[in-house]
Amino acid sequence: MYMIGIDTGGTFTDMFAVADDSRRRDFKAFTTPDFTDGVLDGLEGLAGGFEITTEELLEETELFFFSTTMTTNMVVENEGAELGVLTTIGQRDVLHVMGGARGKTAGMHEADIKHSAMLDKPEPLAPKRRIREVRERIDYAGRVVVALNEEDVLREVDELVAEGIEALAVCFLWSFRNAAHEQRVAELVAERHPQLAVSLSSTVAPRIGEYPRFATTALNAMCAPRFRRYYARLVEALRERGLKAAPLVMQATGGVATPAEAEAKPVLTIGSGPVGGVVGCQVLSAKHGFKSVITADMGGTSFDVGLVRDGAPLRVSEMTAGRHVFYAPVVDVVSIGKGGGSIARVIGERLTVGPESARATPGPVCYGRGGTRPTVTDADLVLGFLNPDFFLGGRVALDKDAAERAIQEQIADPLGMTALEAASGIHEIASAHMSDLIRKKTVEVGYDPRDFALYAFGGAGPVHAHSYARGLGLSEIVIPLGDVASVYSAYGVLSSDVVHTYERHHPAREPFDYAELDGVFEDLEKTALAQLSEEGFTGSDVELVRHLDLKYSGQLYEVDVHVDGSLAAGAGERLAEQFSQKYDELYGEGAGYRAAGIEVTNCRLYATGRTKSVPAAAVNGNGAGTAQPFGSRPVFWPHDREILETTTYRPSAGQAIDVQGPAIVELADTSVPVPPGSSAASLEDGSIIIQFREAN
Amino acid sequence: MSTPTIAAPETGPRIYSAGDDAALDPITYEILRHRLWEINSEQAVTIMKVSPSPVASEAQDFNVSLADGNGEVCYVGPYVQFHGVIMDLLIKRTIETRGRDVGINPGDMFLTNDPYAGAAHHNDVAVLAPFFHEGEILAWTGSMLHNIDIGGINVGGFCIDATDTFAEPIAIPPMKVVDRGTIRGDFEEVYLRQSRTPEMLALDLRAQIAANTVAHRRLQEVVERYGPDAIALTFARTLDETEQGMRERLLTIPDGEWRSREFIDKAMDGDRNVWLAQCTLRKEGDALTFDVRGSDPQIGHINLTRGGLRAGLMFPIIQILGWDLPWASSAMLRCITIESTPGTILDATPPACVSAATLPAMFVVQNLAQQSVCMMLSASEQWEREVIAQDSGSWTMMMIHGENKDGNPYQTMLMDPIAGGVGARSWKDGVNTGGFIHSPSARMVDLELNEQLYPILYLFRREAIDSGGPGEYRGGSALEIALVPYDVERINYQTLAYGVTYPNNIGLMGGLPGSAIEYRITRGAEVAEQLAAGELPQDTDPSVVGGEIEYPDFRGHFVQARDDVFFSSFTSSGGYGDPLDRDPEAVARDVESGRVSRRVAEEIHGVLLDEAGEVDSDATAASRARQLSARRDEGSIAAGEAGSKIEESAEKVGQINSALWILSAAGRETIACSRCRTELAASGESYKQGCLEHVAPIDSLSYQPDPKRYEMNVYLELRRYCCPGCGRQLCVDIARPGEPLFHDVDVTVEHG
Repeated sequence: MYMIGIDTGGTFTDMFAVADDSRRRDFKAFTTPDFTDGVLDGLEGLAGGFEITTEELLEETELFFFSTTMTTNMVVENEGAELGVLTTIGQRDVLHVMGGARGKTAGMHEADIKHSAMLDKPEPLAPKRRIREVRERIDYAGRVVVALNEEDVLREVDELVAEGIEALAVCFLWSFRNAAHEQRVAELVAERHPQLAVSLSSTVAPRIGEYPRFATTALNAMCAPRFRRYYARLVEALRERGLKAAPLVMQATGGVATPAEAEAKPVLTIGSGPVGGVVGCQVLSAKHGFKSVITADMGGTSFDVGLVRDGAPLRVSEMTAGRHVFYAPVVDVVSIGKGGGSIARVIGERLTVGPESARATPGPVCYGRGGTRPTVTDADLVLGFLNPDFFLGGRVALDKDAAERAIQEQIADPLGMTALEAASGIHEIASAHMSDLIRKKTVEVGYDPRDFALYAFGGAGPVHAHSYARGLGLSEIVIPLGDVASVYSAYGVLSSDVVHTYERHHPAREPFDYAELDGVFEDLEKTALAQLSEEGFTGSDVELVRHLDLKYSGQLYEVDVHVDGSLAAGAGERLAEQFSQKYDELYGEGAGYRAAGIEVTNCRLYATGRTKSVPAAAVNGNGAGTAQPFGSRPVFWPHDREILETTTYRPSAGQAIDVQGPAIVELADTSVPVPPGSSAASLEDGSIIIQFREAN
Repeated sequence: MSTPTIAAPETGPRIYSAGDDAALDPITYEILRHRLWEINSEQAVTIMKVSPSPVASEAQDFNVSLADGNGEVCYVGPYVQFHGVIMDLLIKRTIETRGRDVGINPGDMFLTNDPYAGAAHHNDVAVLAPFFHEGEILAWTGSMLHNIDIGGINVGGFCIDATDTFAEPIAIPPMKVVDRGTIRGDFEEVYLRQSRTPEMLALDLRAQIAANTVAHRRLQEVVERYGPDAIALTFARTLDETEQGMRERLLTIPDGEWRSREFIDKAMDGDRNVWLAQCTLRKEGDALTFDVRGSDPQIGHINLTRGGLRAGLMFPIIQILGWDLPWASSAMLRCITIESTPGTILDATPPACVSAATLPAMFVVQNLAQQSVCMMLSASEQWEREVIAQDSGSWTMMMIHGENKDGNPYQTMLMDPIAGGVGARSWKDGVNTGGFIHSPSARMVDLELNEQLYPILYLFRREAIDSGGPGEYRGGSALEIALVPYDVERINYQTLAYGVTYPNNIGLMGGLPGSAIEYRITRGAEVAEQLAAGELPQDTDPSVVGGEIEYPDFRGHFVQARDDVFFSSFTSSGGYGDPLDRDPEAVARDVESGRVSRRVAEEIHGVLLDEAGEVDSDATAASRARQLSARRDEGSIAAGEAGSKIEESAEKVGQINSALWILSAAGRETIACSRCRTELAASGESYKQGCLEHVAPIDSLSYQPDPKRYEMNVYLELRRYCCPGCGRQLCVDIARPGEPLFHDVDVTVEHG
C-alpha cells in the first residue's frame, strides 16, 4: 500500500509518496492552470519512481492528501465566482468601508503603510450593486428587533440571480448570536435557486465583528463554486485511474478535511500551502524528541516562519488574503519578502537587501538569464556556500564570476570594501532580517527562542539557517528528511490529521458558572464527535482539546488559554492563575490589573481525528554506510569572518552523515553548510541535525 | 529637625556617548537599524494588547518612540504622528527637572501629561523610561497614549465648560511613576483618584509600563550582542542620515512661500464668531520655516501649546515629504524653524484652556501644515505625485455617557469618525472612508462591538453621498451614522467639532471642499413603532420617521431620549483639479456606487446620465461647454484687467502647480494657465488677480448643509477663481465676506 501527499504551489506541484516498506519517492511537476493535469503528471513521476504505473499506484493508495493554492490565487487575483451578498438593512457598505483605515493597511508591510500617497484599499469583494439589503435586525443579545422580511429576500435574490451570480454570501448583524434569519434565507434560496452556492456568516465564521465575519463569508462564497468544480474534476480523474481512497484536502487550520467539509468551507484552504511544512515539522519533531520548534521555509522570494510549541502549532484567529481580513482559526505562518532572489543595493552609505526580488526571471546574476542586480543567492555563491557545478544537482550551472563582478561594482565599490566582505554583508543582513522575524514571532509572544529547535527547509532554507540560528542563540538545526527538504510541504500535508474547530461566542464575567461553561464545551464536543464518527474516527483516534479566550474586563484583545478538562471539576479553579501567568509571560510581570476582573469571550474546541502515520524511512539501513569527503573548496564563513578550506560531502541514497564543521553537505536540491564549531549527523529518518558545540 | 530641602544630586544623569575610536560598519548599522525599528514596533504591539480602551487598541490614538540618551527621537512608529514627535521635549524636560531633584536611576519611569511642559493635551499621557548602561543613559523608550478619562470638569477630559486651565484635568509635570522597577503606589493612587474610569486608567498605565519593559528587555539583548557603542552610533548615524536626506530632498524643490488658513467656528459656549489660524511655509535652500504668527489671540478652548504646535506641524514633513526616510523626527526638526506668537491660539500661555487642544487646534495645525506642504510639493514636477488634498479636516466628537444596559455607568468616545475620507491625490481619487493620514493605522471599531459595550442600536452606518470633495480627482467619501438608545432611557452626549458651518476640507488646484460636519437629532420620532412594524428607518428626516429636527450645539451637551434619533455625517476630504475635468465615466461609477448624486454629477461635474446610469456624451459635452462659458460670462477679473495669451515660444521656468505655469518670454516672467497660456499675473504676484472671481455662499454648493442652521455672527463664503481664457477652475477659497484676496503662493524661479 502507498500514501501520497501533494502540495500544489503556484509554480510547482510537489509530490511525496511512501510505501508500506518505507520506500519513499518525491517528484516536482509543473503546476497547470487547471491544477489537475499537474497532479496527474506528478503521479506519473511518483509511479515511475516505484517502477509501476499510475493506475497500479493509485489502486494501492490508502491515503491521498493534497493542498492547493487555487483558493489563495483566486482571492489574490480576484478571480472568484460572480458573487452576490445579502445583508442587514443599513449595512451595505461594510465590505466597502473595510473598517476604515484597516482596509488600507491589513496585510501591508510597514514600509508601504508609510507611503501616504500610494495607500489604497483593495478592490472590494463585491460591487455595491451586488450587495443587497433586506429588512431584518437582531440585537446584541440575539433578540429579534425586526423580523426577517422574506419578500425582500426573494426579490433581491431573484434579481441577483438574474444578474448572473453563482454564489451568495448571507451576512446579517449578530447572526452568530441568533442564526435563525440566516438559516431561513438558506432554506428559501435552496428551494428557489438550488444551484446557488450559499455561505452563511453564522456558519462560516461565528464570531463578533461584522467586517471580518462578512469578509470571511464573502470569500468563502466566492471560492466555493470553482473549488467544487475543481475538486470534482480531480476526484473523477483519480477515480478513473483507480483511486479508491477519498482525497482529503489540506486546510490552513493544520488538518486535512473530508470532501463535504472542504466544499462547505473552502475559505479554510486559503493560505494552506505553507501550513503543510509546519505540520510536517510538528510530526517529525515529536519523533525527534523536540517539544518546541521554529519552522523556517526559505524559497526564492519569501521566508515563512511557523511555530510548534509543546507539540502543537501556534494558531491565530484572523488572517489576511489578497489584503482582505478574515476570521479563521489557522496555523500562524508569517512571511517576509526575503529569499534567494532578494536584491541587494546601496542607498547612501547603507547596504539593504530586498524586499525587491529578481524572482525566477530574470533571477540572480549567477543564473545567467539576464539578471544584472546582485541577490542573496549571488552572495551565497561568492561566499562558497553553493557549488556552481552542483546547483539543483548540477541541472543549472552558476556563473560565479558574474555574481562576483556584480557585487564588486554595485555593492563593494560604493561602500569601499572587498567583494567578499560585501557578499558576507548581504548574507548577514538577509539572515538578520530572518532572525528579526523569528524573534518577533517568539519573544513578542513571550517565548525564548533558545527553547526551540530550528527546522529549516525549502530550497534556500538550509543555506542561511546556521547564520540566523546563531543570531537567535539557537543550538540545534534540523534539516527535516534531508534530501526531501525541497518538497517538504508535501510530506507535511501527508502527515496531517483531520482537524475541526468549533467555536461559540459566550461572553461571561467572574464569578464564572463553571457548569454552564462545561455545558457549552459538552455541546461542542457532541457535535464534534458526531462529525468525526461520520468521517470514520472513533475511540482513541479522536482527540478533543478545549480552549477559552480570556481577557481583563474592558480589554478588547483576548489571551487564548488551554483548558485542561472539566472546569467544574477543578480546571476552573486554575483558570485565573493560568490566565495571569500567560498574561505576564506575554507582557511582563505586573502588566495585568487583577482588580479589573476576568472575562470569557469565546469557547473553542479543537477536534482531531488521527489518520494513519507516515512510516519512517531509515538511512544507513541498507548498508550504504557513511558519506565520505567528496572534495573541498574555500568558503568565507561570515560569523568567523575568515576563509576556511571546507570539506564537501555528497551523500548517495541511504548514506548517513557524520561530519565536523567546517563542511558543506551537497544535496540534490539544497546545500547544507555545517559551520566551524558545529557538527552534523543523520537521524534515522534521514533528517540532518546540526549542533553547535558551544552555547551561543 | 532640619527643614526639608529638594534633593539635589550633585550632577544630573550621565548620558552615554560612544568612545572616540568606536566605529560602526555599514552591515551592523543596517542590522541594528532594522532591529531598533522592530523594538520600537513591539512597544506599540504591547500597548494595543494590554490597553483596555478601543481608543488605543482599535483607533490607535497613541504612538511610540525610541530616542537616544539625550532624548533625540530616532524612531517614531506609524501611529498618530504628533504623539511620537512630541517625545523629545518631554524627555529633555525630564532630564532637566528630575535629573536635578529626585534623580533618574535605572529601572525608573516617568509620567507626564502637562501641556505646558510639552504634551498636547491632558488626556495624552506619556510614560518615558531611560535605558541605562553601566550608570549612563544610553537610550529612552516611551509612548504617548490618549486616556479615556483622567478627570476634569467634563466627562472624557475635553473640558468645554472650563473657563481657564485650572478647571481642566490634573496636569502632571514629569513625575516618577516607577521607582527602580516598582510602581509608586502613592503616585498611582493620586493619579487614579482623579478619574471617572480608574480601572481603565490603571490598565492603560500598565500598557505603557509594559511597553517600556518589553523594549528594555530587547535593548539589553542588543547591548549584550553588539555592545553599547553600536547602539549609540546607530542612533547618531540615523539622525545624520535622515537630516541629510531631508536637506537633499528640499534642494530638489523650488524656493518659495506657501500660505494656508484655517477658520474655527466658535471658541466656546455662546460664542458666534469664526476664528483664524494661519501659516506661512517658507522654503529657502535646504531649510523650512513654518510661521504661524498672525493667528488669533488665545480664546475659549480652541488653544494649543507650543509643544503641540511643533509636533503637529511635523506630520506632513514625516509622512508626505519624508515618507521614505527613517522616521527620525528629531533629525527632520533640525531642518525646520517654527515662528509663533505666545498668547495666540497656536502658542497658548497659562491660564488658557488647552484640554481640548487635540480636537480643534491640533487638527487646525495639521491641516495648515498639510495644505502648505502639499502646495509646496505641487511646485515640483518631481514630487507632485505625493500631493494629497486636505483629508478629513476635523473630528466629529461624540462623547457618550450615562447608565449602561446593566445599570453600571459608562463613558466612551465613539470612534466611528476615524473612517474619514482621504483627500484626492494629484493623479487619483482619495480613499473612501480611508481614515486620517496622520494616523495611518487607526481602524474603526466594528459596530457589533459598540452595540455590545454601549446602550446603542445603529439604524445604519454607511458612506455618505456627496461627501467627498468634487474635483478632477474626487476626495474620499466620509461616513454617516444614525443611532437610537437601546435598553436604556437616555444617552448623554458631548459634542466638539469645527467645520460645521462651512467645510474645512478644502480642495487643491480648483478642487472643491468636501461636505461640512452634520450633527442632527430627530426629536420624538416614531422609531419604536416602525421597528415593531418591521421597518428599520434609513432616513432620519421627519418625513420618514416623524418628529422634529433639531441641530444640537456643536460645542456642548445634549440628551437623546428614547424616541430621539441621532444622526451625524463626519468630515470628509477635498478634491483635486477642476470638477469639469473629471472623466465622465468615473462620475457614472460614483453615481452607481451611491457616492455622488445625480444632482451633483450634473451641477458640479456637468455630467448627464441616462436612465440606465450611462453617460450621455453629447449632453455632457454641451453641459460642460455651457458651464465653462457661464464661468467666463458671469465672473469679473479679481484685480486689474484680463491678461492676454502668452506666445507659444515662451519657456516654462517653473510652476505653481500643474495648472499654473511660470513662463518666461522677453525677459518677463508671468504666471499663466497651463492649458490656454492666458496670462494671470506677473511672477511674484498673486495669480488670482488675473482670474475671474465668483463669490457665493457656501450652500451654493448643493451638497453643503445650510450654514444658517446655526446662528453665527459671520458666515464664510466660497470664492472660486477661474481662467478668463479657457474657464478652467484654478482655485477655490473659503473666506470671510469682504476680506481682500488671499495671496497663497509665491514660487521663486531659479536663474542660471
